[in-house]
Amino acid sequence: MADASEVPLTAARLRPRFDGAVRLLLAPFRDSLAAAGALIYATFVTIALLADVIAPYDPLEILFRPDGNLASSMPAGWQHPLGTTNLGRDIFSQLVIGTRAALVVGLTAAVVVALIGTVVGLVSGYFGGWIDAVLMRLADVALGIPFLPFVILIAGLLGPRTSNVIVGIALLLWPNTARVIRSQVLTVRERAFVEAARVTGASHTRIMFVHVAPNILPLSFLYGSIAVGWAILTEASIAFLGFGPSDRVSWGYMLQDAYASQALSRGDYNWFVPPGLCIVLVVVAGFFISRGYEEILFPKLKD
Amino acid sequence: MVILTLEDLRVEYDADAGKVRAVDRGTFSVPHGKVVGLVGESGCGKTTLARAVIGVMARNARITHGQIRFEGRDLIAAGVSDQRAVRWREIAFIPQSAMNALDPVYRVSTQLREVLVERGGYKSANVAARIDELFRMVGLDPRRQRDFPHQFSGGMRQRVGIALALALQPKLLIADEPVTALDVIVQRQVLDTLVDLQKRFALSLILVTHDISVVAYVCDRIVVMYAGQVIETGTAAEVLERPFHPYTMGLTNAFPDLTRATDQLVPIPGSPPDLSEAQVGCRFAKRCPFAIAHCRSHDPPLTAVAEDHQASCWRAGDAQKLRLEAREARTWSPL
Amino acid sequence: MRLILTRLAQMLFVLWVVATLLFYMFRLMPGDPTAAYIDSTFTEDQIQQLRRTFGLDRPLHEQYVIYLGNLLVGEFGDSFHHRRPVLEVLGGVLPNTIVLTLSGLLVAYAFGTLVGAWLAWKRGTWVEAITIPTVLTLRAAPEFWLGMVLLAIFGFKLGWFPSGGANSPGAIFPSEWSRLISKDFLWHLVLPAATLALYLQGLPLLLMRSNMLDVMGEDFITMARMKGLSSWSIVMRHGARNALLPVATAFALGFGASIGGNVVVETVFSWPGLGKLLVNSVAASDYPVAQGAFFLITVVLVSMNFIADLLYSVLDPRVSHGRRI
Repeated sequence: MADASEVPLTAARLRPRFDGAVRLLLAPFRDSLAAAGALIYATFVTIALLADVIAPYDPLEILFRPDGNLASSMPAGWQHPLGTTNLGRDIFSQLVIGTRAALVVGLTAAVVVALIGTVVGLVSGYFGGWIDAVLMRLADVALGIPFLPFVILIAGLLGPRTSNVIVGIALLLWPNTARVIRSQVLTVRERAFVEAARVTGASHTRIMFVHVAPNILPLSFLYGSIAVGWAILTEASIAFLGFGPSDRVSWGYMLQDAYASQALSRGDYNWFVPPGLCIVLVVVAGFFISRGYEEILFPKLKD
Repeated sequence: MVILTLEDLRVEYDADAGKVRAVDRGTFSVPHGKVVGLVGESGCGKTTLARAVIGVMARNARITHGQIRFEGRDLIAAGVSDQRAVRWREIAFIPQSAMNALDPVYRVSTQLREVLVERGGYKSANVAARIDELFRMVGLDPRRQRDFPHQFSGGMRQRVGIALALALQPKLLIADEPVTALDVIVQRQVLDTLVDLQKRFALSLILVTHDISVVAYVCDRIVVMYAGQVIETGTAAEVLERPFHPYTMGLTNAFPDLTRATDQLVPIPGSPPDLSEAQVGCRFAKRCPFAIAHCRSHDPPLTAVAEDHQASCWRAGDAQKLRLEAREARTWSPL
Repeated sequence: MRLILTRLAQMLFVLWVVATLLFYMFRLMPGDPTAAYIDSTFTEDQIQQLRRTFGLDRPLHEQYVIYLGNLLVGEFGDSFHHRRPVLEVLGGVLPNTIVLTLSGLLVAYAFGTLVGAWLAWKRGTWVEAITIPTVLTLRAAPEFWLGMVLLAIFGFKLGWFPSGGANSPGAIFPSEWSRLISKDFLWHLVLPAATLALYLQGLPLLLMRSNMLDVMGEDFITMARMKGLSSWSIVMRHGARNALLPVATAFALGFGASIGGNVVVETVFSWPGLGKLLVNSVAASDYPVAQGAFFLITVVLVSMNFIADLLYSVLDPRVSHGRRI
């Protein structure tokens, strides 16, 4: 029977363990602001999941008063917690359903951005050479294209579908993530366990995804959480400008509707203030969470 | 005549783990016009002590006990504006790394001018002449004064540091490891300039360093510090040739003496204690080859052991015998 | 010097890629390749003119070269909607956008820099604990929503400021310059510029605060204290001056980014600028104008990125003045 001390020092034994990565993921919540952010997120996710149950009416349904007239521009009350739009739709229902649109777009876009950025950063940093040069030039181009105008062009020319908005966001937002991941990879690449893996003959893909990746995942999450906020803001802007899908109620849609219906001059604050506030809450929650991560990844001395 | 006296100074830091007393028995004096070497290994508290004298410590540090008397005036009791008035005009500081101590975005002449005009009351007309004079004093070409700090070499930057310190003709200079960051040949040159100026202007100088060869070369008096306490003071000749504290004995072994070609270098094994923990007994006891049981339970006070010579050791009476033993390498082999 | 040339080359490369992208996008989208430049409402003369200018009957790769050449002289064709050369249309709205962006940015950066420096001073106090989340919350708000709220309150409810546009309807001015400095224009400028400023101030504020905290920990600040210099000298002359470097760069970058981001603010306030032009032209399928507006915005963005790089080498003596020994 082989003596335990003679077991060869394989790369597998030197690989950083995944439970460490999980601990790292949950760590930022010691910070009170980050915890608040997490709570806000959890609330909105719950609302989004239970939207159909919480919303009293169909958001696009035109409603009528008991006397047969249009339930237009009604103030906040029991029947309609936030009142109605000028065309008789329940604002509260729109707000609740809008949560879904916001989170879907936000999270999808963030995941795509984080994914592209991480893969590009990994490949670029790991292989270096001409691959790196080409990818970084691509990043330069993406950074040189004006963000909102580009998404407008895409949505305007390809059609006002949510998927187009997500594509537009993803195409331009990945470079920052990629650059940071790349520099991190450059440092990790030189560490002992990567050397060990190379020596024992692991393939490039294996080294990249099994050994290097866990060390940069926290960064991906950081940039992903930042991207959620920008994605939601962008989606809202696109919808506000009228380039969003007209059958899907989102917070941006509500704001566009309010603006176009002269809600501003009528002073219908119950219509256009809540959607904006919801956007603020979700985005700021993202900021707080990402600040919690930043404290861990780039700690500043307390003094 | 004494220009500066420190008595039982205590300086504490607020660290994450709790309070750290970086300086515990800060006691020594500086005679007029003399060079006093403040010696000890890194972390012994000598820089903290030096910065306490000029009154600019880290933001979480505080003097909790003791006196600092400069020309008879109590500096600690003095108000904030009085303390500020003394700075640079009477007590000046030469930092270890002038590169970091000079503002990178302003020309050297501008930084000199700032001190001269704002604190020295110089008028615009006189400033230029004074800057030229200062540059020549420290051995720099006055035509370089409009350069930026990063454009100077290491040695030249230290000279700029000296020029800055001397700008307002202070009475007391504190030099914190002024030549440590330089290479050996430049070290000697800058040190020579400093000493030359000190003699010329009869300045009092506190020279903080961990390098005992520098101290031997330049100082009139020596103050040895260990783990935040002053453990031996006296004239340079006395302390170097007849040390009373075992740590000083170990220190004087650690630098090669070309006259005793057959001796080996004898380093002191072990490391200084962690000051965030409370200290019991003599702080050197763990590393001391001559420690007895009493040393571990009682902290020896600083007492006179010879004329104008103080040390804190219970076994000062055996010093002569211990000195001989200290010269042997086997005395210091790890306990 | 080499660095500047490299950056310049990068800038031109990006512009070239964008131009190429636009070329293909606008050819492929509408289906008919000539639809990018010719509208059914144009006269036969116009159509022939455009055919020649853009070589619309030549093979694609020839059209591409002609297109690039036209781009260099600013030839974008004629606007379907305005019936004027695109360049003219762009020129008409550009000053409005530039003035709006500049005023918003200047106010934002002046405010942000001062408050940021002050916040660094107030480190660890309750002031910081309240201000930072507030600033973050403002950054989280959609620009256009801030504009909507300001417009609703100060424009409609209180009536202090006009509800839109850059000039009162029917106002005539002898020259562009006199229009830009007229009271009428400035009165219209307040709300949109205030919206921009409110939204943008977060970045310089947080950046300045962070830089100040870093700088104040540096050795030369400790030395300044030892020299007995006044608090004002230390914080302003040494601290702020060093902390300002990255903020100046951010300003240049911010200008470039804002030109594109202004789209929504211009829409809320019906501000006749580049962004609003882009939105309108895309919605109306006025392809020549859409192309021209987008390209112009890109040019500004890329140029400002380049200037930001230059700025750093100019402002930091460690870069602008080389070592001598």
